[in-house]
Amino acid sequence: MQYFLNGLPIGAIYAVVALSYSLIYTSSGVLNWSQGDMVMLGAYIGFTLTQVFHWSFTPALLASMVVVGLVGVIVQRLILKPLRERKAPPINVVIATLGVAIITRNIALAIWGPDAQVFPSPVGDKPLQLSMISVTHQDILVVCVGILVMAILQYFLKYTKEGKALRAVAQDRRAAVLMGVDTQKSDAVAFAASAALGASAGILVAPIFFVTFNMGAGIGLKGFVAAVIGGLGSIPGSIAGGFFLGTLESLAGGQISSGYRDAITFALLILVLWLKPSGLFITKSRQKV
Amino acid sequence: MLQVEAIKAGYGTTQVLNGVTFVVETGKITTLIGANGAGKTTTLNCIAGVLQTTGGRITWQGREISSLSAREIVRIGIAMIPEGRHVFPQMTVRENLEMGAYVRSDTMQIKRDFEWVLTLFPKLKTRLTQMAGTLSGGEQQMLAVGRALMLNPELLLMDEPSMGLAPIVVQEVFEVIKEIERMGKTILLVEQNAALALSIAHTAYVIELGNIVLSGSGQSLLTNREVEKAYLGL
Ligand SMILES: Nc1ncnc2c1ncn2[C@@H]1O[C@H](COP(=O)(O)OP(=O)(O)OP(=O)(O)O)[C@@H](O)[C@H]1O
Ligand SMILES: [Mg+2]
Repeated sequence: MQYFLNGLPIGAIYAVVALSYSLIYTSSGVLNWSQGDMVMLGAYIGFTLTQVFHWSFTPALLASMVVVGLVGVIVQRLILKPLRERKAPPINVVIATLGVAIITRNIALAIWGPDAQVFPSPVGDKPLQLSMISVTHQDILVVCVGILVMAILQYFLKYTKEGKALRAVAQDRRAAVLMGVDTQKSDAVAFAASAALGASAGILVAPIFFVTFNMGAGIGLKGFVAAVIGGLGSIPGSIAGGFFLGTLESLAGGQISSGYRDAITFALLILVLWLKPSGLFITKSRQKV
Repeated sequence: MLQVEAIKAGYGTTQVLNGVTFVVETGKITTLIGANGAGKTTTLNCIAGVLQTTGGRITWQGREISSLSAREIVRIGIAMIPEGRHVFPQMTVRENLEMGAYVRSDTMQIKRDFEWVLTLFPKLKTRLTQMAGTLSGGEQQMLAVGRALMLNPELLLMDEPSMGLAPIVVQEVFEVIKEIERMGKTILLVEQNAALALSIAHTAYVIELGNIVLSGSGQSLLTNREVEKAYLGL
């Protein structure tokens, strides 16, 4: 029970990062390897705003999401759009996003330096003892904000005009064009929303780990694994995959050894790719947003 | 009136249309028939702005539209119902219809058109919350037509609406096409089901290997010997 609870906060973070992969993948067909570095940027911006400028948590979270969202738009405009217009093969686009990841990492290194920064929890990490189990305020905050962010994304996709257009593009790009949808714009919206999701994950994860310029690699990979486990491109699948991976890691770390935690994660990834590449939680052949 | 004048187009280095010329009169059904690979879909794609022409010109109500993008074409009131329907499978019927009005902002009129489309397709009315991908082929075709009508278009381009449907459903679809004509819309209908298309068309053109080889009134082509031999299977 305790391990299960411990897995929820990190699971929520994985779920948000997994969603950020899936959203871009399903709507523009791009596997964006700079997603983890958007998490890192979000963490650094949140760190700077709260620790250097003494902003409070909520405005720092929102500002960081907006700024990183804009970075997402810049990536789409500068990298994806020109490649698309030249009809570059998908692998080139994927490699370009790897380039974006490296550049982002180096920019962060130049701005914030090589030392790990400590991001204290905005609500303190005093544990809350409830008979047998204990949770920290930070854990509760992470789960609540994570769920809130996912709910907002869901609302955006289901009830707003741009969100529906994004789903239309994801499901049938050519038909969406016939409806008059600007696919460049919807790509930009997808990149912005994904980057903003990443940023929110960054601020949530920062108090759990240290903030470093290369933190994006680890969390990005975990989020990607969660997305693949749940079904890359599927929103509910990504959420389920994130929580599944989080609790699994917590159980493995607690019951076996924390040294094996990552090994188990990647063993699971290989197993899923081998046995059920469409994702564990996907029943239909190809579920889209 | 839509005027297609000697348009050329193709994919990569292969030219598919070698100077296609025809006219679609306002408020009437015009049909373009031809065998597989003759260039029917390619012609529609050129009009809809999905494919750029490499020669000739297309004018709609006197305005040259050859170089407009698909988005701009939609905005001047030309809707296309693509071959194979292409409804958004994991959006509800309602959401699909809403997507048809994506470029419009006249909320009140959109509501009225929504009601009007549902009276045209009563079957869709009972399935508004159903995912479009789970509809039958005939229902999906109705939805594709309804979605295009949600633009309140002046010109409707239809690419093989009868494809893959049972004869009785094809009949239903064609009744709706006639109904749309009665409402004053201009229709360009591409079909392989030549007999049916000719029977409802005011004017008809036959396309072969990227060239218009024959034209006339729908009725006259129905009784044309060459058409009978090549397309009506008599
Ligand atoms: N995207 C494409 N890339 C390359 N060639 C294409 C493409 N689409 C069509 N073609 C070619 O262009 C020619 C005309 O195709 P088009 O789709 O216009 O025919 P059609 O008359 O609509 O046929 P059908 O009745 O089978 O739909 C064909 O030879 C086809 O192979
Ligand atoms: Mg065709």
